[in-house]
Amino acid sequence: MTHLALWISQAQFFLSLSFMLLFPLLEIGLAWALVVFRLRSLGGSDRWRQAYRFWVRVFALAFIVAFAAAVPVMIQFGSLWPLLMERVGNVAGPMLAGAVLSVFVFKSCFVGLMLFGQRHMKERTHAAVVVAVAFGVTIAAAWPVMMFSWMRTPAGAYFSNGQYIVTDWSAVFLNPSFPWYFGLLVLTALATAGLFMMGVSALQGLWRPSGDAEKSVFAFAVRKSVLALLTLCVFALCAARALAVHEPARAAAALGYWESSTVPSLTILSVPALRGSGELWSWRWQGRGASFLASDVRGVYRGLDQFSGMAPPRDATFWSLRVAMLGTLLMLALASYAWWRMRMAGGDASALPRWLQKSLVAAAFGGWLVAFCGFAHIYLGAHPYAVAGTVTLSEVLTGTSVPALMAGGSALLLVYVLSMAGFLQLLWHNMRYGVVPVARHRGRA
Amino acid sequence: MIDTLAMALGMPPQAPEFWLPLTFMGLLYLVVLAGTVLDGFDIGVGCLSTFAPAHLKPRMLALLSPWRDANEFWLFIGIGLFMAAFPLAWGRVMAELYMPVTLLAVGTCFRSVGYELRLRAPRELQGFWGRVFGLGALLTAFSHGLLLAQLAMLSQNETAHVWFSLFTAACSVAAYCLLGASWLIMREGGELRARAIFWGRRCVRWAAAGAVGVSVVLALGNPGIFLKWSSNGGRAAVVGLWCLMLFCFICIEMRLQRMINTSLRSTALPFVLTLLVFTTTFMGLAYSFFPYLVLDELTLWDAAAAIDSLERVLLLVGLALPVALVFNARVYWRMFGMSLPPEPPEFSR
Repeated sequence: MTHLALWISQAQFFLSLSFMLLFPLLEIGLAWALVVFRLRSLGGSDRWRQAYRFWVRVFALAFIVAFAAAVPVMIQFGSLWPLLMERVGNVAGPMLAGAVLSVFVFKSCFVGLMLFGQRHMKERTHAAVVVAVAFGVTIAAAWPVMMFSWMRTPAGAYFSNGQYIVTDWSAVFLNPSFPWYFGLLVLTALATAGLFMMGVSALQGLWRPSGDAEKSVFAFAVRKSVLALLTLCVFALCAARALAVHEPARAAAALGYWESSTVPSLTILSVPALRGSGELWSWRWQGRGASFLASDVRGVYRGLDQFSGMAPPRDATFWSLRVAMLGTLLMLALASYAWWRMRMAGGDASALPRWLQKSLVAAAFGGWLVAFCGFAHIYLGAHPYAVAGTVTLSEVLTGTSVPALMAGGSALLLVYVLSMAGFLQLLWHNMRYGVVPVARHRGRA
Repeated sequence: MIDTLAMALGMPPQAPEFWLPLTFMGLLYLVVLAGTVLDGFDIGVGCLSTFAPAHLKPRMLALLSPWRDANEFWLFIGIGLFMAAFPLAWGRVMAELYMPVTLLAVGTCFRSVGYELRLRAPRELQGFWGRVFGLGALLTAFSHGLLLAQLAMLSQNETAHVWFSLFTAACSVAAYCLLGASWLIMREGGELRARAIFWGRRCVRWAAAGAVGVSVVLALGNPGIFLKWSSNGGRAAVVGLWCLMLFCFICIEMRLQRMINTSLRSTALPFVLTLLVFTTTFMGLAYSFFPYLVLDELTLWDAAAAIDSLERVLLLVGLALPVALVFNARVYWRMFGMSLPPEPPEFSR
């Protein structure tokens, strides 16, 4: 009964968190792309002005959904894990306040000006506002990442009497995993937005010959995707090496290192047995992967068997990482090939072969897929802990009954499906018929 | 008064352990009050838009446009402040209230997504997103009522009180509708105004019934509150608040009755009176609950985070407060009076 409630709560929270993740990723990536478009259009270039005009609407849509999705997550933080705030409140409080207040400041001051105030400002002032928005959305995302990473590597505080007490705030804010998770977030955001813009331009190229603005955006998006994905691959490898010490269980699950021994090994693929904990078939690389595993003082590499009872769900953690990595490599290959073909076609998406155009359209959501699976790996890798090593999820679990949890979860799922459908429908409409300007006047209607 | 309070807790009034939680409680009260008062007409107009005839809906929703950006924030800030300042009460309160707060989350999402997407959607989908916005507003109003009912009898066996919760939720929808209708009366002329008067007349008695119901249950269900109300200073305050509320309801009722026949000029009176009712109800609740966050169990000093965390939160609040004040003053400046049409932009060539 409790077990079921735990998994339903876990699924519900994961659903809300990952939905909240998707739109800020797009929003952050697009915000930085818009900086480029806006700065380039300062010289009076018409193509970049048009590019800005189109993509700022998509940014606005992503921003709306991202903001709406943040409220359920905050509420569920209390309603699903009621005792969690009691345990970590002293640490999480300032970070939460930072997140809420920076979203407030940047949304009320800068996003409003960027979207509705362009006409009332000088060109250069507006460009400065666009830059400020890009910094703002990135800073606002840094706070929740800080909190999330602190819960994985709780530094700068000690646990006593069921409560974390802070000893060193700078160690809390710059906990060991924060730079890595934040870097992963920003790079994934850039890649997501790049792939998204690439796919949208390719679809426009399928429908009609590309205009100047669409060509520029396509060339920009292809380069941005390739560079971001390459950097992401390198950065993710570095992050995996650095985080192995701090998150040994997740590292063991990621490498498929089931049993501890003195010889490291790296499982590339593994099919679990239907019964028991063995495996039907696996493809191993003996002696490799030492730097991605944690080891104890005797030089024994820590396998998943050392965490009996407190290990993350094995196959889900293992396979979500595989899908994310495979997706990243596939997207990288596709984007690189598109770059090569694009140079021959002069940056024109409509001159590419049809199969490539169609694959690029399909790849528009590749960034989201990679982000979703990667996040699933990181999130499930911490199970069953809410705060690594001290607070388990089952001890902070809500006492709400399973049917109520199911009903609440389904209602939220409906909200997410509707928001996603609305976002995609409007995007499609904008691509097909052009953007519709929206005005907002202070105090007048 | 502050000195007596500090004395009762055995802390000097200058100690941060004493005044920091108190400051945050004040801020939280302020945000919740601002949320109900400033966001209230938005919820109300949203609720009414589900019942309004099709040709009036676009105008009703368009009237809300200047305030949407600011209105969305009150709940967000309120939750953030509560979590950051009183982490020990947050879980206790939220765990009891799983269903209402989930409804609130759903309603809030529907409202923000529905409104903004409706603005940008092609014509044939605008009706759909308008309905999503209306449904979101109904859910929000309903969940506010459920929250109120549950708060009023948190210490008791819940299963016996489903009917009271539903009744309060229905009354809460009526109260928000009244607020929305009286705002529309002030804001717009013509058919919309005439209809708003009728909507308001239908709602006002239900809103009054809800207010009475909540106060009765609050007093009879919680001995601590009853004691507080019947104490020497408390009696005058409670009777004063009740009389004020009764007076407001009667005035609204009479004003709306006569408005049909006598006057078609714009009037802010029903709106101001309804705001007064909301404020009074809130002040009554705040007075009854203070200093508890979980009634008779957890005071705001018990529930507060450690002092150095609170100091950091306060620093952040201090940084954001000037922005918040200027932004809100600027946005809500023209909330009263008839709606002015927007000026056409100046095109520079």
